[in-house]
Amino acid sequence: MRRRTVLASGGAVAGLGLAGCISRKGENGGTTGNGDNEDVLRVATNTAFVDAPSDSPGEWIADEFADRYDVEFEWHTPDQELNYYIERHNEGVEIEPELYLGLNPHEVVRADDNTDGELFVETDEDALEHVANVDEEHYFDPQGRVIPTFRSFCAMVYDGRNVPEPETFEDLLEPEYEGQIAVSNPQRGTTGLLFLLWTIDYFGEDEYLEYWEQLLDNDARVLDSWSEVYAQFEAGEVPVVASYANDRVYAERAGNDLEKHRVALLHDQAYANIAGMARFADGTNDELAHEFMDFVLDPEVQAVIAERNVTGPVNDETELPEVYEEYAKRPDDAPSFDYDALDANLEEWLGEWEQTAAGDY
Amino acid sequence: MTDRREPTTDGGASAPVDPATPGSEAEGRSKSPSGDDPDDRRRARGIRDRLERRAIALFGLGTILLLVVLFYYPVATVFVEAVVVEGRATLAVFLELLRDPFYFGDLARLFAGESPFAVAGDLLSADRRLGIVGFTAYQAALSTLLSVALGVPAAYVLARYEFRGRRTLRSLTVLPFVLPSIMVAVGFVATLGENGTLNRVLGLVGLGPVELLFSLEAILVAHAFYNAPLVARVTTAAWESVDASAIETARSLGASPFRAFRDVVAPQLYPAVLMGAALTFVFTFGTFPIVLALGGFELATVEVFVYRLIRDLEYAEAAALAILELLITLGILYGYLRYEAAHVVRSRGVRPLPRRPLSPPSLSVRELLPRAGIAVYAAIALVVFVSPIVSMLYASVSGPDGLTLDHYRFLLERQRTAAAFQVRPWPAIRNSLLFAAGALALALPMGVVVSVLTTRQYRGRKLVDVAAMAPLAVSGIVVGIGLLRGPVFGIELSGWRIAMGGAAAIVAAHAVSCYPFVVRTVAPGLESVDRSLVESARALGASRARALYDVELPLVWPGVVAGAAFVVAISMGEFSSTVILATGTDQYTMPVAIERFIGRRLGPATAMGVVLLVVTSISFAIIDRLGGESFGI
Repeated sequence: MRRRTVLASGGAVAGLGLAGCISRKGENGGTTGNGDNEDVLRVATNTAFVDAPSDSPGEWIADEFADRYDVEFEWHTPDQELNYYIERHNEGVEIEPELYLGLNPHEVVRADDNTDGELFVETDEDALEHVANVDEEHYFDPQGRVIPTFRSFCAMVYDGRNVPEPETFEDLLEPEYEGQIAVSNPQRGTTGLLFLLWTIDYFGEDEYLEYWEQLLDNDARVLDSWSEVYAQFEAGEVPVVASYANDRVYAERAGNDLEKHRVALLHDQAYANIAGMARFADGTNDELAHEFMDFVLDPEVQAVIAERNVTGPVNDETELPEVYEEYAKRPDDAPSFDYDALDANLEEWLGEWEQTAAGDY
Repeated sequence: MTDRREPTTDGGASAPVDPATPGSEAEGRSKSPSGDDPDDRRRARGIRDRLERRAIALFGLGTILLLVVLFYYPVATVFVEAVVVEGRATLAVFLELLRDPFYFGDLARLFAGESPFAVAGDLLSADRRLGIVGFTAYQAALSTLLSVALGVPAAYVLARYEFRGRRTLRSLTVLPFVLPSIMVAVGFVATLGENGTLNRVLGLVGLGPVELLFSLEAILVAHAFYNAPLVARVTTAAWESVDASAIETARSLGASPFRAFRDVVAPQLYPAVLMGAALTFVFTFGTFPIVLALGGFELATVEVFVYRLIRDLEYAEAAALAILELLITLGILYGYLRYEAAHVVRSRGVRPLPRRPLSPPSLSVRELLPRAGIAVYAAIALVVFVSPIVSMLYASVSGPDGLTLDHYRFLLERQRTAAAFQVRPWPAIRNSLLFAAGALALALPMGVVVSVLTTRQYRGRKLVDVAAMAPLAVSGIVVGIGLLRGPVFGIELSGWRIAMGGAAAIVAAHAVSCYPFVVRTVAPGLESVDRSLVESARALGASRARALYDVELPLVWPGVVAGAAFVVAISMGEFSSTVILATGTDQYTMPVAIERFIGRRLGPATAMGVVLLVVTSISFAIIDRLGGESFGI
């Protein structure tokens, strides 16, 4: 009896399932809603920008932009992030959002490597009032597609109660840091990649692998993602991790022990990571897209992003939130590789690093 | 073997369509109380009878359709990239991989044309190089051994002893399956870490500290956490099905208890233990995030690189690597299936072995010794299985200033204030339950039908069985990217793009990834059902489907219930295809919510993890109750 009900309902669900998941759409059908509505702005970004457990600027931006310009606003946050749109582009499926917000240089390089280079289009800077206040040093895309939006710095976060402050890369090779350091997998986690690039910048192409060998010999851990690395730091298992220079802002807000959350620059440097925004080539609404880009660069919005995303602004006119001024460390020297350097080398660097770090069994 | 007709041709029916099959209890119940015209009723019944007769064929077709649309086709769109490069068919990508010592270690030289003897000599020497693939197989083999070593004793206790909470414990064995790896990692760090529970306990008795984290050992233990319960569950079922009279006969013929165990009980356990072992090998071969979380990149496995290559959109190499991975795991599964087919145990557990009380009835050595062993095992089980979960519970109520309910308040707060594009806890719980129920309703019939189709006698049926198991073995990220390219972006058919997504597609995808468990828990039972029972039913006019409902399924019902528990566990824990197929945050499930709640503080995510645990536990208890107290799983 029970058996029969289960099986019979199975039949019903099977039928429903098949009927329900096949929906016919026109050749360029989108995924939701009516794609032709002029008054909707769709923007793609990473999940963390709109749905982080602490705070994220996404909600404020959506409401504020919708209010100011009297339009509907939608965030699109596919789990595969930029790869989702690269795939869509390559499969010849329409891309709905007008823009992508939160592009790092290495992602743009990856996109260009794997598309015909026409996923994004050049941005007409004349249409943006606030770019005048964005310093040239933040720009990384030679093709003028990506407009800088915010930036963060990769630095070491260490537990000041248990280990001394590391001041140089060489310090990390000392016995007192043996088994005490964790970074995320550069293949996967952004901080891990930034740390790797930082070592390449410091030691140069010819010597960074040697440094990594020594670092791994000192039992430094390369874990999966930043979440794991940070969880181990929180649990007191690893007192030194590669993370962000803004760490103490979070620690202060969450009421954590500020002695445990200390930030170390190495050689007075922190590696800079710029995030930018660019327009999809499939975009149709120039005016609204430009309005949004300019809106994001507005000093007031830049301050909100600084506050809620805990990242640095790119507009020089921005007034930094107090907590950021006080607790985020800003390096005088912030190296980073530009598009061309990454385009020419990144794949090879990662490949070499991979061969060094794994496969010893 | 009698020559049975395939239901695909005529439903196997030689009985007249009307009047209805005699003596079936369903007929008695279905009499409509509304008093319709008898002709109408007869016609309706005729249609139903015809449907029933073709039920297996229809379900079979439905299953194949679902598998093609949500598994084989999507995966094929990725796999094809390994053999078609720039429009030309080639095996170059495979050859390059096989010859790469990074992946294949010393074996690579074999593929590069060196003498097998030289390679074998080097592999046996101390400085052998396994390569990534070799290491992956090595750690999977060790994980399998450990899982069996920890799983079989659990099965022994659950099957042979009576104690309070036994049924609850049995129904909760599959619980580890649902836990996202980051939660398990957090649990193990809190348990095995330098400041972990284990070291604190060892410190109390003046031992330690032991460094277990970031080592192969930590990975093995975490793999055992996930997979020993699987071994335990299937072995418990087999053990509970051992017929007591066979042992009594052996004993009365003068066999010692050990001999009776070795010759009567053990042979009935081997297939189940091996099944658990084979599945464990498959899962731990394709292991991914947990390896990096508890071991580190030095211990990276094949899947780490498949994942990396996919992320970098290097599909040719990724696909080739994933195919090699698949061939190895399917090879293991095929080996097991051949063994299973050759060792069908014709036992029906008419009268299961009586359970012994856990507290010793007397203080003799014979009574105390096994129980002392159980006590030692229980201590190990506490560290391996219970303590990570307890650590997670603890993490969910601890904050910077001691105990707190803040993390649960966070969940409530999110529920109240989250924007449309953010994940809310309650919809996540509701969706998880709905999708699991839907997946159950789909996967059970799919699994049963595939079991029927693969337990028939025909050449190559084990190959069909292996192909049906493929959803267990294909790299998750490959399935994910395939789903994007196939159903999500739409499949082009003569100028139309047919796209799928949303709740129905998620349910179907869950069913596709769950149903192999139903096959594995149901098929061995079906195989052992006495054929003459089915044939009698057919001779009396029952359709093949009716014989399945009324004769075979009751006999293998415990296997169905076990399959159901696995389906719910897999569906509740599923992450990757859910986020890919969801068309909005309102279709997100609990694991997705956990992932979204991970931040600098782990509290909110662990609180959601506890919610997942509680909801899943309740679901298991319900399945256990609905399944009835049977001799089986």
